[in-house]
Amino acid sequence: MKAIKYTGSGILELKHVPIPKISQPTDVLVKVEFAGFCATDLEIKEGHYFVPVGTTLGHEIAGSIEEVGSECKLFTKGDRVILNPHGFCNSCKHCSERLPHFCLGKNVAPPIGLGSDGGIANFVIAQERRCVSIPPDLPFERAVLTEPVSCILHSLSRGRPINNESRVLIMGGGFIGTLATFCISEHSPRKIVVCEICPKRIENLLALNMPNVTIVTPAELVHEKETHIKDAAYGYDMVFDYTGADSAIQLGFNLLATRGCLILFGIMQDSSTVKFKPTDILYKELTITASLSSPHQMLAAVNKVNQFCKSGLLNFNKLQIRIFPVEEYEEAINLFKSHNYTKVIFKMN
Amino acid sequence: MKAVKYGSDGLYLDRNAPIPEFEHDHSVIIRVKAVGICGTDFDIKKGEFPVVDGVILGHEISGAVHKIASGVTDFKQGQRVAINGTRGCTNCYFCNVNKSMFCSKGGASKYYGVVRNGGFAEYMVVDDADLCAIPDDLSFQKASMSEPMSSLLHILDVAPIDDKEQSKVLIIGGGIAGLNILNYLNFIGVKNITLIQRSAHRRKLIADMKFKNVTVVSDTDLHSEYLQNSGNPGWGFDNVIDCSGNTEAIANGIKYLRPAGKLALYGLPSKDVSINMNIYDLMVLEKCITGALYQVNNFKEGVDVLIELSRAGRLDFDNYGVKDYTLDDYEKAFNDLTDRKIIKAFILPST
Repeated sequence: MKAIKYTGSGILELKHVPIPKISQPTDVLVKVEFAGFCATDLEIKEGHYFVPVGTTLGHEIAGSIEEVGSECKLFTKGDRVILNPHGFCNSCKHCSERLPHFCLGKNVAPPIGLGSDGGIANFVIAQERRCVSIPPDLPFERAVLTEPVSCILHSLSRGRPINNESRVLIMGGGFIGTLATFCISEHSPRKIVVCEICPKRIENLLALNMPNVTIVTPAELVHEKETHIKDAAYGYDMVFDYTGADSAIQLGFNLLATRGCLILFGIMQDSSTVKFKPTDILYKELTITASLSSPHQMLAAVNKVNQFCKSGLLNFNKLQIRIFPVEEYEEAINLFKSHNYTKVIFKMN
Repeated sequence: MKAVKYGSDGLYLDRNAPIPEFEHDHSVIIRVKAVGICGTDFDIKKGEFPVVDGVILGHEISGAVHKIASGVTDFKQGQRVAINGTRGCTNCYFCNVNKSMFCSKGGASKYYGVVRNGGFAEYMVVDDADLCAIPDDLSFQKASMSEPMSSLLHILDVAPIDDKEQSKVLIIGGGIAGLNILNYLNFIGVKNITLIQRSAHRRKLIADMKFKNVTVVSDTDLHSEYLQNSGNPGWGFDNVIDCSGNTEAIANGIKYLRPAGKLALYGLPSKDVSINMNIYDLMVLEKCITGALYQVNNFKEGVDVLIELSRAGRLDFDNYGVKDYTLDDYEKAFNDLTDRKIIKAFILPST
């Protein structure tokens, strides 16, 4: 079968390898239809995020069950699924505190596509427990968006609940920022602003015609703050950073209202440092926290993707998402990296 | 009357300050009985905390009702009371969203002892709504701790301790704020509390207080433990409360958090100091930093908690190293605190 593998610093290669075999009785073999490529995968390619050399990438996977292990109870061949890349033991201290993404269990198989072979391949092995059913009328190429949407939903749960009074600022209008805006809009907050620096992306965001959403540049945000310099109530109650860029994080922090929450999501370099004044945190009672992912959000994410799909929000043209045959992976990744597309998805079969 | 005021040259005792008068028909003149000196007062003294020039200091106040204006019906002459220094107006945008300390008419903008004349004086004028009656068995000194007690309860609003049995709590700094928090958390049954205290002398003092389920360590020892556990993802604290305001301690406090742990800043940090936070470190473990400033509608709760602690014998001041002073001796009070001869000083203006 074909598989996109990380073969050393800066290099991803399309390899021809045998179809993997089930070795654990609770494992399944999934025939992959579509696999998403994500910013984390770019970090892996560039050697910033460690995976063992030779690992197949791909943690955003939609496909169907091809074969089940001898002790599998939940699925049969042909079942349509997306995969939760992360496993958890369900009995360690962290799992029992609803922190499964920090599972301490020693015998948990590593995350699919991030520690063990992933789904940018024709087939992938997964524990049965990591398979999640998708509705029969949800196309695979939309279902593959579930994993990133689960991360977005988790980020929305990290701060204070968003309600009608909330003023929300989203830093970054790419794939994650846009889908996050869809999710946040459902809470009908008082104000939603999306801040984006790239003119082409701004154009795309405006063309989406999202009701009650304002698209701004960083300069416009700075100007907005300056015109409200005397207004003690000014600011944003929730700021989500989906860029990972130091300057965006700094700007977002400076725009927090009293009791505001900054949620960090975008991937940062591990040398990233941002200057915060503890006095600002104290005197404005600000909260800064971060969000990774959560297996607990998978079911909600499937429903969300299904709902968005039915309401026509997942128009790939408008969202600048493109599907590529996996053989064109090099071009796809370059176009993704240069922001020509907000997201690339590989068609595997 | 005598009053200790803030001037640009420092604090001074004014022997001829006017006795305050009613400001409106809900005014109450208080005979101040006890006022605590707070860490903030030190910052004020150094010119590092903004106060109104000429203001009478003192924001941890208790006393007796001296005179009531015509509209006051809830309090009577001689009644023993604690005073809420930062009550919000309850009627503005900020008060309505539970952010009373940002209230433009109340909250921090009316802060007794910072913006409005406070309790380092024989008399002060307040609104009747600022008062909370106290029982006869709560001494004035203890009652004056309502203000700090209610502020510390607010910490638990912004950074809750999720599980008294399981959560591991770290308190940075064993001064009066850290001790108050330690005492309260221990009292309500938080099982795993560690306190960092730099000075060996104070560590011994705290150890002699014989709190159960409390570990007291030096900052260097805890940091060693942190370094030794760098490969252990389960190590760390669910809640870290910084009472020191020290920049390095705050930076370390972030490091000592467990996944999804919360750091609450409470001690006043140095102005104009930034921390270069490695946010990748913050991010991969979903840590959280937040700040707790003053009390927000917690004042009555603070009084009730003090009463409970006192009746349970948990406010035994002999253990704490506490001393009373007159207004004339205010400088000695500040000096004794600076020299660490005592942990807490009360000024009793009516003696």
